[in-house]
Amino acid sequence: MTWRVIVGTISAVLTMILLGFVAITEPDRMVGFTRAYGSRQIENGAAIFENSCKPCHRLDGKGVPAKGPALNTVELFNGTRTLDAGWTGTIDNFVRLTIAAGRPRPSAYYTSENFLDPMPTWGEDYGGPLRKDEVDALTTYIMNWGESYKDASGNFLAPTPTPLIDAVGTDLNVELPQGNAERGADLATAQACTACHIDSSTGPAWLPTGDVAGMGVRAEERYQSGDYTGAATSAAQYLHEAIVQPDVYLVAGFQPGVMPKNFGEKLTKQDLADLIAYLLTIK
Amino acid sequence: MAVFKPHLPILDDIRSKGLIPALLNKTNEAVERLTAGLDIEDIRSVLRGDPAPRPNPRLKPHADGFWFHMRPTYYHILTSGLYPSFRLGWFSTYFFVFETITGLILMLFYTPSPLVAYENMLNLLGNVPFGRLMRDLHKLGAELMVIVVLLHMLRTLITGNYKKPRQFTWATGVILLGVTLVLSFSGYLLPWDQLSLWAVTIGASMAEAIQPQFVGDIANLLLRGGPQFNANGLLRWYLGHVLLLPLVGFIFFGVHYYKVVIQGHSLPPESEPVGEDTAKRVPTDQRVYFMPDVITRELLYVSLTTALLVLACVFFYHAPLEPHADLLITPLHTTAPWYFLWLQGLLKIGDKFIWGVVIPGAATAPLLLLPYLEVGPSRRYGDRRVGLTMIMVTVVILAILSYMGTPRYLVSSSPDQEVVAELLPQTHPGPLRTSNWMDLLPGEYNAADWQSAPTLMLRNLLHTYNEEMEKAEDNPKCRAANNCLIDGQGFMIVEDWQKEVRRVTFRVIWEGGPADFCQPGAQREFCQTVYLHQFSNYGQGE
Repeated sequence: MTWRVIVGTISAVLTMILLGFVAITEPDRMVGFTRAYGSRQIENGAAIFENSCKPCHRLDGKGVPAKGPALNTVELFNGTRTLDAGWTGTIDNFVRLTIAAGRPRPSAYYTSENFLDPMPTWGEDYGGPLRKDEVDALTTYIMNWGESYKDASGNFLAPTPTPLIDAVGTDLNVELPQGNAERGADLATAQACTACHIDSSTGPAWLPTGDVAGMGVRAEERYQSGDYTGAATSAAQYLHEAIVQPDVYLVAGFQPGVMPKNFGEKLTKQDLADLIAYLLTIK
Repeated sequence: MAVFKPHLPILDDIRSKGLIPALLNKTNEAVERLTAGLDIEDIRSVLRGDPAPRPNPRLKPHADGFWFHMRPTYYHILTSGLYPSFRLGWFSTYFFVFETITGLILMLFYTPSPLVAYENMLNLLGNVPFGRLMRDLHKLGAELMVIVVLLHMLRTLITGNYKKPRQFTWATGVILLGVTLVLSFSGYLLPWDQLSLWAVTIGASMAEAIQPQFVGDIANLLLRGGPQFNANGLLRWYLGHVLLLPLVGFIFFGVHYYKVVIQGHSLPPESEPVGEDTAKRVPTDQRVYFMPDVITRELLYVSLTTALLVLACVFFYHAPLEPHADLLITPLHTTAPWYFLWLQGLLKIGDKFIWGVVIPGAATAPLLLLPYLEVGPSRRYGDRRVGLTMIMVTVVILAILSYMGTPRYLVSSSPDQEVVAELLPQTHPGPLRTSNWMDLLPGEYNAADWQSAPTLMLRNLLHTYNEEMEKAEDNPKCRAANNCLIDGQGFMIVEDWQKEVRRVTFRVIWEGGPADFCQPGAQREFCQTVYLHQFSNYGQGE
């Protein structure tokens, strides 16, 4: 009997001590959980980004020309972009709302970029596939890119100015330097040409596929064909024209206004020469 | 002249006896009323274990009080200790009360809606002091309650207590077992995480298999609230969990325990003549009075069990919480809760309706009616060789079926996914997520070269990876399915991705693999990516 009372009493005291221990450690634990959950939100958001956002914003968030703007860029986080759009709320909410409700037409900030498709609505409330917590996770992940644009004291770095380049322009008659095909191949990826030109099963559309020869051969044939409406007088010039003035001549089956018209402003003479050299090597 | 003259007797007492003795006296009186017969000195003598004075005031609460009138005034000396019942019925009741208390506290922080149920869990874990402890206690208590109730039934079967005159007690017990299982199962759905959704989906899909089809369809609609689980379904399971099932349990518990008290605690089989029931005829010298003996035991059980449960939940056990429920993502290897694995095992044998509904249903009827079917008078072990053998065989069959219910048995899946799932499981954190982020150095690693990895953690991880690759190269299961990973190679690529975020790609290739790296639709290659944050801290359990 006595030991029952003793053990029972000790147990009751032990329970109280344990509850006291929990009471003391609970605030730290709750902070820890909240932080851990925030971190897991970033992980989930990253997975959603890879599944759903990659085609237009690129896996690293640097954007795809003519498809989607860069998100992994200091302009988004230091407020330049939201200021331009006339947004007065927080950037976090700007991102969240854009994801959830989409963008029926490209923002005025990007008029020069010629984005073709509107941003779809992703939030469940707006007819999209993502739950609220998934939109939140995605937002947390995108906002986490901002962390890498902060200096030691937590201020955003100044935007890197767009390097001034000696752009090639849209004139077909400029003299181009000697092209480097190898560098051209890298440029085709770096300039995200491959984001759209991936129609063939073997890779980018300029590769030979089945009966269709490579772009080098096709360029040679096209500028000499009867329905050609452009001004090119050689295969190289045909490609030159197709890159800087894409709508002058359209191959049957393609729509005008799809390919961005600003490559003349984004490429140097050397870039263009390299790209043409690369494309001409593909027979 | 005053119309109303207050008269407080205590003031007279204080005047005549002094302040302290008068207050003590009054307190004593109050205690005696609350306990319906025991004053402070009586309670102290009960706890000290003094022999009962005459006349015995300890019998009064049993006669006059509400709570104690439900308890017998004395037990037979052979049933007052842990043996032969192991107090499993008492412990079942303890857990019922324990679950009610913790459950009521959890109810304060819960809304039965798919929109917020999961958020409620996060709130409970991150914002409510003692929130995680309550959740852990409730979950652990539920698992233990199922175990205790099952053992209680097994013990009753073995000692033959279901026999005349306790047939009806047995039948109510079978109903209480069902209530316990469904209570525990219905609680699964409420957090609205992947674990809950898919465990309950397995259950509901069994109801769907009921023939004729329209009955199955209606059952399915009732359980899920629609063709898929939705807000109505969650609300139904919630109300069943907090209202209907506890109510049914409470009613049948009342009947069950009333029968136990009326018929007395059954004696061990060998201690009474065959075919006779002497539980109520306890000779005076074999009586163990509820007060002081049984009540001190029970108080000890309460405080000791509670202390152990709290201890377990503070340091060792945390209720799992998986990612938010998602009907579009079926995790690899979802299973029913462990106590329904035998059902999942049955389902693998054949037709859903026959093996999942008809056979378990047909097995329940004889269980319920057992004491009316098996009417042999003797409870002695020696006379019940056939019966005891059948009990043991049933237990073994259930164990085998439960094993068959696990993913180890007869689940076809591709070995490439299995390899990655070992390191990066979909249903719990697993080795990669729980390992130290700092040691996960960026680089490209080959599982076969695990020994040359730069950190111990990477070596361990890659070693596991390599072992899994070797296993997947040749085993009976993949040979049967003809999908062994011949010349398999496992790669793990770790990249710095964002601040405090790394991206890990698992790439499994076999028979040479494709030339390009992780392109969609590739043959002989399996790729899986995961992002890991430095502070996601999966080691916590949830």
